[in-house]
Amino acid sequence: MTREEILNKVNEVFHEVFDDDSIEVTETTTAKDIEDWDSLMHITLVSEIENAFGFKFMMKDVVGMKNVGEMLDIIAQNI
Amino acid sequence: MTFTTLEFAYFFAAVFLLYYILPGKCQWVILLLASGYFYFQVGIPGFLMLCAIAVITWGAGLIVEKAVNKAKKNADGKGSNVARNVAFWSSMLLFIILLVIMRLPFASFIMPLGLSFYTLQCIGYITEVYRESTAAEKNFFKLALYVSYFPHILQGPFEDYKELKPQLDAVHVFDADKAYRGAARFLFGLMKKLVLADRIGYIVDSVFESPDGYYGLTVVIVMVLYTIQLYADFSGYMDMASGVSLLLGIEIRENFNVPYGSKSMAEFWRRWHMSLGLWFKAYIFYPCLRTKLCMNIQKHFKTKKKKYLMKTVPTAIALTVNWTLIGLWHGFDANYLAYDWFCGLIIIVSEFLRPVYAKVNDSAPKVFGSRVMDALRTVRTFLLVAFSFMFFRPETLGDSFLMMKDIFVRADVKAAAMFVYDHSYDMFLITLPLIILLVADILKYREVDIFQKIHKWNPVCRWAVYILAILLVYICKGDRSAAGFAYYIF
Repeated sequence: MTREEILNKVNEVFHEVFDDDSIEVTETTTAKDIEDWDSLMHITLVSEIENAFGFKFMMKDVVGMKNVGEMLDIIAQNI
Repeated sequence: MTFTTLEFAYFFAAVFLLYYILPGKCQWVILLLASGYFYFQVGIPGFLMLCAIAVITWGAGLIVEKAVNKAKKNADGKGSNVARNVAFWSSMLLFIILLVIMRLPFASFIMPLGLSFYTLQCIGYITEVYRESTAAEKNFFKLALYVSYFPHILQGPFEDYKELKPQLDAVHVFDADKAYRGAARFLFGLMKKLVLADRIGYIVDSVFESPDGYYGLTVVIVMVLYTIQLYADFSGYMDMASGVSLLLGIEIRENFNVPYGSKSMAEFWRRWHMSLGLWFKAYIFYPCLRTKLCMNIQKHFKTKKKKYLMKTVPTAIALTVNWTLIGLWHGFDANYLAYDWFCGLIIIVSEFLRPVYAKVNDSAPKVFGSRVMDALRTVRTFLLVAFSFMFFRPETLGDSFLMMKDIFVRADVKAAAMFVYDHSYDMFLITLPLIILLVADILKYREVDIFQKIHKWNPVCRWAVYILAILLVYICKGDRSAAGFAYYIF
């Protein structure tokens, strides 16, 4: 899977989790850029990404990822 | 030896001079010795306990790291993973037992200041080693410095080992800009503590000590004033801690970000005691949501296509665990538990009502998205927070309920006017500092750094402000230097 394909799939997950098709995440998107992305939604997002890509995040990644770019790095390492 | 005493001023002047005069590679040693001396003032039993906890943390870090590495090398990993978990959980158990025992009535008289703060930091460090997000510290004395660093040992903020260690290890050359920011923050913190918190203490303490006979508006005034007092006290301490640390060239975490500007209880807790929130999020809330129980509940509702319950039920479970533990961290006291459950309950209910709020807001976006509505949300949150502190401050839960009930018994405006008149001297002295705090917070909310702004003024204006600020603190300060900070008790 190329990074762009991963990003597209991640975007789909974001649309589903936040119920908003207008969200367009990029490598630099952070929780501050999406209004409802708080700690509660973060875990839902993490679970849905795990389901979509078929792997499990480590707890240090769940807590530590700072933006979508870092999320993509972790996904790329695990698929 | 608190930040507000002359003794601390002499101590810090000596540390500051030695820190910058002696060779840079000695700086961390000076900080370690200074931190040891600072904490030694708490008492010998407390100092010995700190040493013991530092040794346990250092040893546990090394053992856990060894077990983790062994598990990684082993191809099948099963047996070694058991060893890794045993190493981690045994050290966790040790800390939990320690925290529980020290909070029991028979041990409370020897419970040293800051124990709850530095113990959680140690738990965080071992967990980070276990999660492999940091390497265990090999040098015991460097780990001891992380645990005991004097600006944060008594009341936090909880520092992330990965963030603080590089700064403690680095050589710091005197930086005039950082020193200016540090001195200004310290002075601002001094004003918050000595003028606002202590003066408000004169007004509200007697009511909390014997709440009988106060009704309606008087209780509301006391409730609001206490809300300001606790903020001034706790954030004042943090300003002083940050200031002292900045003077040494080390930046510590921010613990407050205009909490009374919040529009919801959840937002309030993201802005108040932020390092505690981050700690509980990383080590309790997230792991709780990732337990099999919560994951299975999530899967169950997902298969039934109940998206709303899929999110809210596990969240409610994790929030209940989280807030119960925060309550127990505050102390084995019904008041603290009630306070934290009250906050947790509001956040859980808000989470359940999220779709309702969304529908209401969408029904009239111009009205509900207006600035007026935002202002009303801020006022509502402030009043809710103030009300929640009615569990936190009174001596007993009975007193809390009595005061809450007495708000609604009768307005008693005349008695409230008399109460204000009786305390008019203290009310007058806190007026200007309160306006300064309000302006500073409004600017901070708009992401304007007031200290940098003043720093850019011409020298005459700038120094006039500094001198006036010092005079203000000197003239208006309360005489409660013996009184500790509100969060010292934890």
